[in-house]
Amino acid sequence: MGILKGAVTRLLKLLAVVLVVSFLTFSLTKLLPGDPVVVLLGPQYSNVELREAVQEDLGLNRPFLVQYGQYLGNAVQGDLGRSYTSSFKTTTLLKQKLPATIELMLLAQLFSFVLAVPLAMLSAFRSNSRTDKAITTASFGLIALPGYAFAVFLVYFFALRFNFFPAIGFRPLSDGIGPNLRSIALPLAVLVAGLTAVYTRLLRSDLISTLQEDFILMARSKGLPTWHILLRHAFRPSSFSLITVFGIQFGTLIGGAVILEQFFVLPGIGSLAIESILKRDYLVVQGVVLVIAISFVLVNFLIDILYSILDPRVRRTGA
Amino acid sequence: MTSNRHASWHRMTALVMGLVFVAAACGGSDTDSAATTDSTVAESVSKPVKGGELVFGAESDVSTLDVGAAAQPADKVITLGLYDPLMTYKDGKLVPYLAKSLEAGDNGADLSTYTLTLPTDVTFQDGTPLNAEAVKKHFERLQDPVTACPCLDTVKAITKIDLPNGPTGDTLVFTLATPDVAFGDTLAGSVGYIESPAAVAKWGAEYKNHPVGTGPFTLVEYVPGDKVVLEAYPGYWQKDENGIQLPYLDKLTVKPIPDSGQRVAALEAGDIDMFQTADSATVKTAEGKGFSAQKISGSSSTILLMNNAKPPFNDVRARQAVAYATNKAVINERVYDGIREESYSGFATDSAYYNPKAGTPKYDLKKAQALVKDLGGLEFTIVCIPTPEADAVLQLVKQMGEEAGMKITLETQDQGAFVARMFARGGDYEGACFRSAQFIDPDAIRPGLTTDDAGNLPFYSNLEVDKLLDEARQTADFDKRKAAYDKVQEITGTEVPLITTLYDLFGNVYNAEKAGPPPPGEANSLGAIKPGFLYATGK
Repeated sequence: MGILKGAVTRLLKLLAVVLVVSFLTFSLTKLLPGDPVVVLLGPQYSNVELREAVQEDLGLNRPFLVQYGQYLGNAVQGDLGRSYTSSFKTTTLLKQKLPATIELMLLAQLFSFVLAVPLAMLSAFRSNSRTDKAITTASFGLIALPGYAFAVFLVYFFALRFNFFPAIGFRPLSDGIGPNLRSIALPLAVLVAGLTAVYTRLLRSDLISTLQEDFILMARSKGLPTWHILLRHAFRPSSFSLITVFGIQFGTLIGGAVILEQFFVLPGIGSLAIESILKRDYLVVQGVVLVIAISFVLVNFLIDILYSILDPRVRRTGA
Repeated sequence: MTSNRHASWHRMTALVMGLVFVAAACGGSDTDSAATTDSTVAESVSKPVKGGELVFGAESDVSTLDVGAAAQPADKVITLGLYDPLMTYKDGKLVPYLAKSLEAGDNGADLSTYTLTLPTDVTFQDGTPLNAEAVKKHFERLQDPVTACPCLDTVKAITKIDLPNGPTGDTLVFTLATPDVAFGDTLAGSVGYIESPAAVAKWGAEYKNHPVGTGPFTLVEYVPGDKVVLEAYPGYWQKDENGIQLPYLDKLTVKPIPDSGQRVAALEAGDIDMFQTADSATVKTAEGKGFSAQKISGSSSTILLMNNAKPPFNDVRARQAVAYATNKAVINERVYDGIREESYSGFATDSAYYNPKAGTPKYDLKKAQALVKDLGGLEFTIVCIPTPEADAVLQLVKQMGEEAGMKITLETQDQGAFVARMFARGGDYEGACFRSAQFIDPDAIRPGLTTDDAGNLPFYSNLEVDKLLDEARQTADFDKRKAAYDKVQEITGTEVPLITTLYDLFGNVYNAEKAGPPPPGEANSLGAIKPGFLYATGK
């Protein structure tokens, strides 16, 4: 019951966050210098008849709050408007761009999590050993190395020299799982490398601290095997920082992989956002921001729920 | 001097190019010959064959698939697959393409009346027949402000369209508001691409995402920012000179790859078979890796735009000072490895209308310094979109100006804001980077230099120039036109409404193992090509 009550309260707060984000985005796009009508008409912008016809057609001549109200009313019905420049529905564009972004994000999180957990355990359990130092050095190296630089390196070796993977492009799952995975292998490797390093470092330090606790000493004294102690006793209480950052990274990955998307010519929503901002295609920008905001708050809402499940104290305090 | 229905600085990103070239499309032409083409391989290595597919890397995403607006190379390579222009250029001459003929009234003497005859056996890709009614509806649609065609001013000049043989006939008679010798040239641009009236009726506002024309390809898939997939239209009306049914290819995929380095990497990795670039360094890199390159140059050039309506450039001495201070040879050497040509005119040097005796001032530091002194100093800001190329060129311009005693501030602005400033009333800029357009018919320079024209971005005004440009438009007599344009070049050479720096060099780079050389340049966009003539070598 406690979890349910907490969840409903949080959900209402999150709804408020999404509303505020949508209003701020709507306002900011209006404050930006530039005008989508200029982008559409170019030199013909000075043709008053044409300009007014386009403004009327796009609804840009209505008062700000009326425009926002209409936008919000349509948005709750799943209509995020149409791109000023391409006439595609914003939802169509999002549907076209989200699969690549979501697939990349989920696989990157999955692989990095699967890699980071054993690496961090090994590193923490053998703290200050050669293995730990090697893992730590590699992690620092990957954190320090910007993703785009690592991407250049991967493209040079794996696309150009050995031709294992394509240098650019995205093949959807409908083309088959093999071509699909091949097409995202290099950007995925870049993301996984960076995330694994971060997760390994975080989990390692929490694990080292947990491994000093009395209950771990008790487990050891019972003669439990090492893997059992690490997985069943140490991992759960050490995973809070990891889970927090894991949640934050979802948001970052949804909208933040812009450079990688541009570099590998991936049809993701990061590049959609950039293109739309440059074209002053406000409705698409708003749609993208809304999706990112909703995803971000939803994932973090789930993370909060997960805290309650992992730690009864959170449940009790309602924190 | 330049035309300016058009575009921005090289590689100044898709958006700005798209925007400004949009207007070029209205009156521009897809030409075969006015551009100079140079290929690094013997083009006899393979003969066109039917079948196969190619992947084409474009500089930018397609900005529109609608008629009347397509202008930048990425638009052209796709829209010239979907549509056919009514007219085109062959060996430097304007000839009918989709149309059967175009005749000015009174045996060529009346330039305000044109009779267009259509073929009777052409159908759109949806099976709708091409006839007079379809062409009339096309122009009426472009004239409707709701269509928001940047070509509105151009098509509004058509005051009446008669169909003497009825709606299903093959003849249209156009009446223009004023005589216009370049009407045929207009029909060679995207204004002359005809769309299926049935498709427009079916899709309405969404037509631009479901284009249907008479061209060699049909649209199969369009994912903005990702790809456009075209498949051969089996009912296409045209065969090549050997009787092979066009298009040669079964399928053409166009992928936007904005980064030129990535385009080379994609070609190397085999992800694409051919790409376009306006970046000379990329052409050189690709050649170094063993790929073939078709280099095209014409009237288009990078330019330094000056706002003639506002201080300090409302004083001709200030404009002249910048022209004298700009050492184009140094820019060419430092930024382009010396492979471009210096430009002192909006005309290509091989244009029949080029006046070699005119032109903007050549580099002369002493004259620049004297003018700056005479002005009591010269201080201004140049705004541009941040690209490595523009940064490099403008840093040099700044250094050169400062040597002459000027104080120059460089400002960068994202595309949306940049464009808004360019088209703001009176122009919200002092100096700006830009790119002049490729053209065949010199009437293309008219909007850019005519007082109060929407395309006059330097806000230049000279009533004599206005009169000369109008006169040149209203006669078909070559000598009279040449005399008028010679005079315009003389005046603008002295008054320097803007400074052309270097002629553009556009490259179609391809893997000769997989693709035959692209067809000779559709020079209006320096790189726009008719994809119906692209072929795979099948090696």
